[in-house]
Amino acid sequence: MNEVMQFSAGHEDLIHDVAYDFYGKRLVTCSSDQKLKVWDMDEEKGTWVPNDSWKGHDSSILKVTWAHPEYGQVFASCSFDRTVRVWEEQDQGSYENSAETRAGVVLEAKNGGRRWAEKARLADSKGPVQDLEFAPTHLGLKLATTAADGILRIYEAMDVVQLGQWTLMDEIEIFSGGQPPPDASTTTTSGVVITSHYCLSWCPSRFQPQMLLVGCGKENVAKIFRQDTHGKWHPSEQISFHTDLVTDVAWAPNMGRAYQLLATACKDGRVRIFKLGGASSGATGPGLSASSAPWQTVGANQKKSGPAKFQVEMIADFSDHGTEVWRVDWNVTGTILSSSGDDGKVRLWKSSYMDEWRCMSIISAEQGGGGDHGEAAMLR
Amino acid sequence: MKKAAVLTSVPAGSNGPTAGRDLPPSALLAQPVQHHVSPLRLRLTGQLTSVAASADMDWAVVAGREVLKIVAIYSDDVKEVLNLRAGAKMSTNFAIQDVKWGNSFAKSTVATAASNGAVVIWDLNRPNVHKLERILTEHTRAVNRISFHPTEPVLLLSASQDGSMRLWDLRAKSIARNAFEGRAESVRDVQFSPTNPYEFVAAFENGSIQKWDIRFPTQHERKWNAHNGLALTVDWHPDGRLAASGGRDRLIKVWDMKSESRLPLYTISTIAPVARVSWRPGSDTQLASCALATDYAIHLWDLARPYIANQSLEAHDGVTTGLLWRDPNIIWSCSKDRSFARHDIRAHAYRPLSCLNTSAAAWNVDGELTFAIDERPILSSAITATTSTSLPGATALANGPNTTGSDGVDTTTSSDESRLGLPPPIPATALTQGVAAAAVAAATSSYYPLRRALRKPPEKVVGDEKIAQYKPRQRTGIADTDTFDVHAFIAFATDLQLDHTDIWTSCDINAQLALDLGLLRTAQTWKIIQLLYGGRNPGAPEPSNLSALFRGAPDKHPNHHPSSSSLSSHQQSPGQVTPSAARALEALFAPLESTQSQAYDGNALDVPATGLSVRSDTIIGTNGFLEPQNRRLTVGSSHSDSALLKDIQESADPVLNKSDNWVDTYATVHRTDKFNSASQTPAHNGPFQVTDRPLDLDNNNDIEKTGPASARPLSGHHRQTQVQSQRPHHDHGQNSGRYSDEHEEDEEDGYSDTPDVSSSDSESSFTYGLKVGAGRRTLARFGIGTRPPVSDKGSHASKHTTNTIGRSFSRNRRRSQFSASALPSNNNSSDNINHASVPPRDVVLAPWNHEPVVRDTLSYYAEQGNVQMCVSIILVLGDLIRVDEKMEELWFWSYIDLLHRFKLWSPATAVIRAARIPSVRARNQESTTIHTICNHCSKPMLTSTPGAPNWACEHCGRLVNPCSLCHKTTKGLYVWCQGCTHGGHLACLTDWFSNDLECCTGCGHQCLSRQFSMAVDVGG
Repeated sequence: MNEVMQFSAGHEDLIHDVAYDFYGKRLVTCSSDQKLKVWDMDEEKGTWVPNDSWKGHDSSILKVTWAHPEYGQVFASCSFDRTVRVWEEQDQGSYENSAETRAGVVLEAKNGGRRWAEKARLADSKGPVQDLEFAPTHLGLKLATTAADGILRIYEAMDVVQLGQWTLMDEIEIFSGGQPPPDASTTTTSGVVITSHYCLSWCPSRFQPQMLLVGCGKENVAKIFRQDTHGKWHPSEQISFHTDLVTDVAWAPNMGRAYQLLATACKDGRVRIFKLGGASSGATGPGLSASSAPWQTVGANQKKSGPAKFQVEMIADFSDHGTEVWRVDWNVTGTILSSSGDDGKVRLWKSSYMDEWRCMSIISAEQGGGGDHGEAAMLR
Repeated sequence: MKKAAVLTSVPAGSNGPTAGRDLPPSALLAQPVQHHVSPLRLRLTGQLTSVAASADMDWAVVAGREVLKIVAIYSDDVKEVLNLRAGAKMSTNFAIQDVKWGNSFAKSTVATAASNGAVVIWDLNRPNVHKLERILTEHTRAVNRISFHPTEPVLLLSASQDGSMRLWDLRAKSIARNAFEGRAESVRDVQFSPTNPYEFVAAFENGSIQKWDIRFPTQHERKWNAHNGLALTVDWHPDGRLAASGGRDRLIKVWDMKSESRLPLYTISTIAPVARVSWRPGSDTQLASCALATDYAIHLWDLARPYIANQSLEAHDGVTTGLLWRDPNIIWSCSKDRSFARHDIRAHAYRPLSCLNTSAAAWNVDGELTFAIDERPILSSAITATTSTSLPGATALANGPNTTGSDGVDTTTSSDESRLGLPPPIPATALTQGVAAAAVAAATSSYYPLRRALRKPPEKVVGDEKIAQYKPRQRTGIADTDTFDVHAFIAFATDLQLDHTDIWTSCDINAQLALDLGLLRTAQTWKIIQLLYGGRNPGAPEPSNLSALFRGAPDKHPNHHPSSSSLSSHQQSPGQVTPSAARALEALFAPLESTQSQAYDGNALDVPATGLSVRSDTIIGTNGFLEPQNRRLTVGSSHSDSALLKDIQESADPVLNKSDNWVDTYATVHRTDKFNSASQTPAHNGPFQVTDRPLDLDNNNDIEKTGPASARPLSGHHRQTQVQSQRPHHDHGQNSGRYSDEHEEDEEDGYSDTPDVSSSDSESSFTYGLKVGAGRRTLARFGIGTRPPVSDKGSHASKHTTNTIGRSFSRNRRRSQFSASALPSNNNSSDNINHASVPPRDVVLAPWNHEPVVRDTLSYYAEQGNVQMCVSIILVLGDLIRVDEKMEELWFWSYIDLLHRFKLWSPATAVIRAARIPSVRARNQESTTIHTICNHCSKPMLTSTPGAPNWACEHCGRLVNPCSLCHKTTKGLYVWCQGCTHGGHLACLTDWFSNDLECCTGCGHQCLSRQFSMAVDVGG
């Protein structure tokens, strides 16, 4: 950990998500103050300068996600107000007759909502939309959302140029119990209301069939959802081990590993990493299987002998945070996992020798700086 | 009589909070059921629109389209008491919009407002079933809201869709005392001030709210343009100063009714049109709201944190239409779901905040991590403890491992204060005090009289000072995790030589590039690839050609390689030396031949000093190689090739420097192997990550202190210390000593014995030494064994400074293996250097196939996420390496994706073009269409064969882009004058303009200025 740069987004309430664009030179932050803020990297100065800031939703904005730049400068946000909104940057001419932002000060009223136009509003959910993510680009312009109503929705843009029309391709009930999912909350016998939480993450791999990792609310599990041959989504592998709500899931980018990695954050205070192996033929081992079966063949196998399931193996289970863990995120190469929780710390995890995952460093909130505990951990 | 019974039953509810306050918080949580009012629900026959409480809060009247009933609310039950509609003959369009119960001075009076414009007064004291007392029908359209005067029981105010408000004196006969014309469209809400007997406030459909004085019925006193669209509701704060309004614009705004300001004090944004707002009793900052549509929940808002509802209550399955506070914690509500409900917000509401993540993080390609983190340990532990009974460790988890369960409960419950009250830290005290005060007030009287009678306003007037707004304590920052070397990635992406026709050169360039960037491991990898595959004669490195290769290397310098020829002959003896072993030797030879062939020349013995000094240099080179900041890196670079080369040759050093001393090397390796097995035990508790670096550090220091001149004795000395510092090596050292002795003898014997001794064992050990990539664990142990334990810490520090990760990879290990074996053998060789070299003849070498090692290397880099390396190696090696096609494709796609992320379009295109996987190559053929038109007739140029352009237009039959000078079609570069548009072949025009300034077509345009023509001359 070399340095921590202060980055003051100036939100008036909790920031719930930040997202880099594909190139890493643009940042969008969203907050409970209902504002979305876009930041651009000033490459000369090496600082983040505000691009625009506007009220994006009527309630807490929970997540933001960028679309691949081949679809333009587009991102989507989801909120407690039960909507998903898709935003696109406008040509300069259409807004730039007002005073520009100067000297690093956001003139929110001036630019507000004009630089970024709301292209679509998806209001199918009956509860707060808790997570969303654009599909990996090889699947087209698709957007998956989960909401407190317990439904996983997959949208697809009909016209990638206009972005105004999003078709709800699939509505999948995450809850497998059979009874209707609770609307945002359930009253337990003791009279305490627990609010459920659903989260999702696309499988980013180009060579796997479409898959989604979904945190399944009060079932206290994460599940992998796959499409069957008829295009219907079904829960497949169930990832247990959790003793409370799964608060976040992250499917690691795979840049050339023979296996897939998943990470979950859990309200029970733990970060867990899972390894998926033996997808197609049950062949295990880290080696690159010589029989190079392209994924189409995998699909063929599925037709014959049902969906070939991954072997899920928990390879790490960390309780370091001690309190609710809220987020897990993989770096771009899928080699380092970051987790953050209510303890006010970000921890970085990295696989050391022989797939042993260890804490690499800890970023704590108090100092705003980095403390490198990783080495001590390694020495032990 | 009945009322008395009710009165006795109710205090259980109102005492609840008081009891809770008096008890320690832990008790509150330990027995929650005791102190919370259980939720009550009563299903009715129709949709409800409004609910009102009797003055003493025992009874409620609920009203709807078909319903007008009085219900009695007990501590644990709710019962229908009276159906007011029973005797009244009212038409169905007489739907009730609002209902109000008279205050304590008119306990028996109930008023309803109907959609047909009638205001109906009911008298509960009437003895018969017909409770209807009178109907006031002055409004021409629906009456939306009515309000009893807080002190004058006979005064009733009504607000109607017809745009007027009327004040009724119930003593008078059906004639309004006053009519107030808002002149602002329909009136949606009206309410008397709780403190000023003359004031009332009204909300209008044009979005305004108005304050009126009943003594001046002609004109409103003040007006605020409060909402965009309809203003639907307004509620005075009990202090008579603040009022909250809600509108269809989904906003709740709080106004200072006494201020001149036209701006709201606070604005709360909700997710749905606001149907009703109601201040929480006893609180200056909290109010409840329900929505007109969409959102069925009741939200409790706090002005200090206007963006997130403090608590939410999912009370109904339909739109909540009416709500009122029974006391600071208990809400009565009615809904379109046909039910009346009573909830205790302490028990039945949830905190939206607890569902919101307090932290966020995101990675970008540069390895930067943007994060926002907050601390919420206490609150979260409370939630964990109360909600997750399935998690026994929850409290302990929150409070640390040493806290006991009971302690955990205490901790969690102490936070209940903050849960109940407000987000810590700022407003919590003020607010909870407020709530507590209210609770005390509720305890002293059996009902909560706030709304019923004029009260002395609280001493603290909120409007004077703004409520301290919540400020997120969240920290945001961008951490450069230094996990991705952007600079190197871009440099590699743009400058790597990926040409596979000359692997030697490509690898050389790449290694040098890596070296320049300080990426020693990468450089090393390239070097080894170069050695394994490069060969000086391209095309040779097929496994079958290894022997040829082996011979081939010396062929380059036939004069300098007498020893190699002997090796060749040695190799030719069947079964003695296998091709792969020879190959490995060749690999070791290769660098040497380019740098210091004379050192291992047959004449090496003639220049022993040179050979030695060179060797010590190369050792230094190795050390420098591992430590980027090492100045020693340059020491050896005075030689013809880079220091890097020497590094590798260093690993070959024992072999190379004394090519005659093979046996020695093998014996050493073998010994190392033995000692390796001895060092298994320490390897178990030691981290594997630390490889040979400490060793090198030692080397470094030692050698740096003394100059190269003293290299020889020093290296010996160094060896000694090394040996002493290491238990395993101790053994080893003895061994080597013994062996050196043997050597001296052997030397005379022509090595007849030693090869035999070693050959049986060294067969495996040498193979082992080279195939390090295959068995990592063993190797790591090996590494451990060779490293002095003392320097562990130092190595740790240094390990982390380099961008290479602690975990060593096969290549690295392999080299370490070499150096491990090299060091003792150097010792030997330095001892033996003066002895006559006798080529080993009987060495038996195991076959070694290096391809798996390379594949391992690729896997290693893939595991590290370094697809750049994978792809580059594959591209350079071309058909020489076969990897799983699926995997290769994944690497290519990943690499291309990464290149795109850095906007390195050209390298990405180059990689796509160079890829051998069709699906990757196809990417360059996607989505790019070039339409061409004839430059004469502007018709599209259609070609029958794609990619083959037409040189003449099919439509006008003219040549496309003919040269103005030679009149032939211009292919390739076409230059033209922007002034006259004539142009053609670059060569033609250069030729023309070398003599002329005017256009060659004779158009008269002077294409060139004189100045420029000179430039052309110079250029030509």
